[in-house]
Amino acid sequence: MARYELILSGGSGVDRFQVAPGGIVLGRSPEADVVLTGQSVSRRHARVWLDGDALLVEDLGSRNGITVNGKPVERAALQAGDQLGVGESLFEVLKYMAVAEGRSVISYEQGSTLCDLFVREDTDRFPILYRATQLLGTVFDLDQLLSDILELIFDPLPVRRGFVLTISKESHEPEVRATRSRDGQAGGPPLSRTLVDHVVYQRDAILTRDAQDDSRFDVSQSIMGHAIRAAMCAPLCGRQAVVGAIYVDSGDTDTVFSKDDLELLTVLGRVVGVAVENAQLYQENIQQERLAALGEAMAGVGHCVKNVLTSLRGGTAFIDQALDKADVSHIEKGWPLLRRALERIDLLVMNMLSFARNPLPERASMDVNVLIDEVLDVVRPRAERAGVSLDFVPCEDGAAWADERQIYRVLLNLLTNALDACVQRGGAVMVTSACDEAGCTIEVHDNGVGVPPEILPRLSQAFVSSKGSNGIGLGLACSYRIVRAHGGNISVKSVPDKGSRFTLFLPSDTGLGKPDLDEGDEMPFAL
Amino acid sequence: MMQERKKALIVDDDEGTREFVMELMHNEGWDTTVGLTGKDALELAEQEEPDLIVLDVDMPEMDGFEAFRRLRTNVLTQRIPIIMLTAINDLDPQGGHDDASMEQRLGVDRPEAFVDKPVCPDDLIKAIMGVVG
Repeated sequence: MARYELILSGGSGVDRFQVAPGGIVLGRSPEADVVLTGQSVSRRHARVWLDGDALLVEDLGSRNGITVNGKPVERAALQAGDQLGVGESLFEVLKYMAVAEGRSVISYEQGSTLCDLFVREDTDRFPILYRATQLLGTVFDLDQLLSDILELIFDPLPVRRGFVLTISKESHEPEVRATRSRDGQAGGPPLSRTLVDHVVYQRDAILTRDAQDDSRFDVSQSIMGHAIRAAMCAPLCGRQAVVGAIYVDSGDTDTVFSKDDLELLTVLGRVVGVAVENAQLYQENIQQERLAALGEAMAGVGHCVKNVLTSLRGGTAFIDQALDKADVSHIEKGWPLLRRALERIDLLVMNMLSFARNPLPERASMDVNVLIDEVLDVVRPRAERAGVSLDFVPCEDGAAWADERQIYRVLLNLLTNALDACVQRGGAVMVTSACDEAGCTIEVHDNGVGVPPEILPRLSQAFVSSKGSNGIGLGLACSYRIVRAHGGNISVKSVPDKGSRFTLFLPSDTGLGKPDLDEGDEMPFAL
Repeated sequence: MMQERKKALIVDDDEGTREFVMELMHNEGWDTTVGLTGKDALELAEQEEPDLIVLDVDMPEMDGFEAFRRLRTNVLTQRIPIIMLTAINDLDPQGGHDDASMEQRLGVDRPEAFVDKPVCPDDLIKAIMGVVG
């Protein structure tokens, strides 16, 4: 037989009134079973009684009437969770099993033995465990995984609502990570916090058939507010610590869970706990790697800028001397330093912005030969100073379909790299262009130091550089991105101490495909 | 008799710094030779017998610390004064120049002078004057 209580929450706390089989009377009169105060309450206001398993309420001819869930009624059947209004007082209806069979607890240590037992002996529940471990191997998104695990236990267990909580790294409190309910409605403050806290901090798995009667738990707002009768909660145990909890309850029915159910939940908690812990460690690793990469990038930028500052300071010092002594020869020394510093900081900043923004190309008709000439004019002074020869063999018609500004940057990066590779070696840099219906192919050859073989496969990655202080490894990364956004590609042939050849292909607007860039293994210069 | 011009070896992989130090030293009446790596420093020091080496720390192939240690253990080069160009965190990530981290990188010997990067012309001239008079 069902048992009911009326719960009245007020400023001073919670009052609970058990509904006796013969019924109870609510009113202002001192003779009433539930004595209420307030101007709008009549002396004998309403009666609540049991008829079999049903709970009924009737108005005893009060002046202001009664309401159920906000609606005025004269007589009505009450369900668990209903709100009964009598004058200013609002009662919540609680229903639970008359016979509380007690509770079950599985300690952390017992849980460990249980896992072995499950795998070795249990035939009924093993399939669920097997499906759970299958999920661990196939679902890599943690939230999806937890949701799928919940779905798994809805099948064999009479669960109304289920939650997976993980302990937040920030607040160190259990927070709901996945929810599921049989009727598809999950809302409000969701679960018995007292139960979860106990499980997380004591590491016990707990089954309570009647949370209200369970002396371990205060009758907290969360339990009453949701008419929780039977609930189970098991810790998610990782290898190192409890990382959360899995919680299910049966809600408003007469359903109870069995000890077997608790065992299943306990074992699932172990399996899922390891997965959660792994996922958290993985996330932390990624975060640390990101921070490390950021640190590396900032160090690279700082180093590069520091060197540019040296040039700026040096150049400025010479200009100062020129002004002090009215000696033009000092300007001739200082000015190239300043100009070079300006070029370098320009290239650095533009590459950083390009890398950060990664803008889409705005393609238009253009002439690659004109563009190459333009870039060559920019780098020529430096080539001359370094004693590097600079040649260009243009094709007849350089018509192309590309974002001129972006490709300018790509060519500037490729030519700057080629010069860097040749400085101090009195080398040679040569550019060729070849355009047809398929697109434009531009090659930049140099006979410089070459790219170290260990770096070659990673050239398109950011912050990969063999140029030491002369680069931070953004130029090529940006160039690869730009060219790929054009539907083209960059390929490289390089031999240490012999030279490099960077081949850039930009498809035409008709997009007739691209030549195989790996053909032609001859190095550009006979060395 | 005209005094022979002194010769400096400048080793830095950064072109801008190299050019600046070169110009500065020309201005001070030095002849210069330049190298880009630690290996260049070892080779050119033996070959050119310079009166001074200006040595960067962060270079590819062989860094300035290793080059320094090798220069100081080679009888042909161990007497050449060395000015090291350092970024603050080349010596210690925390920015300290404590004995332990210095010894780990440089060995028991020390360069004649350190000049911080970005190099300030006056600092470098002072260091040169301090080292070779």
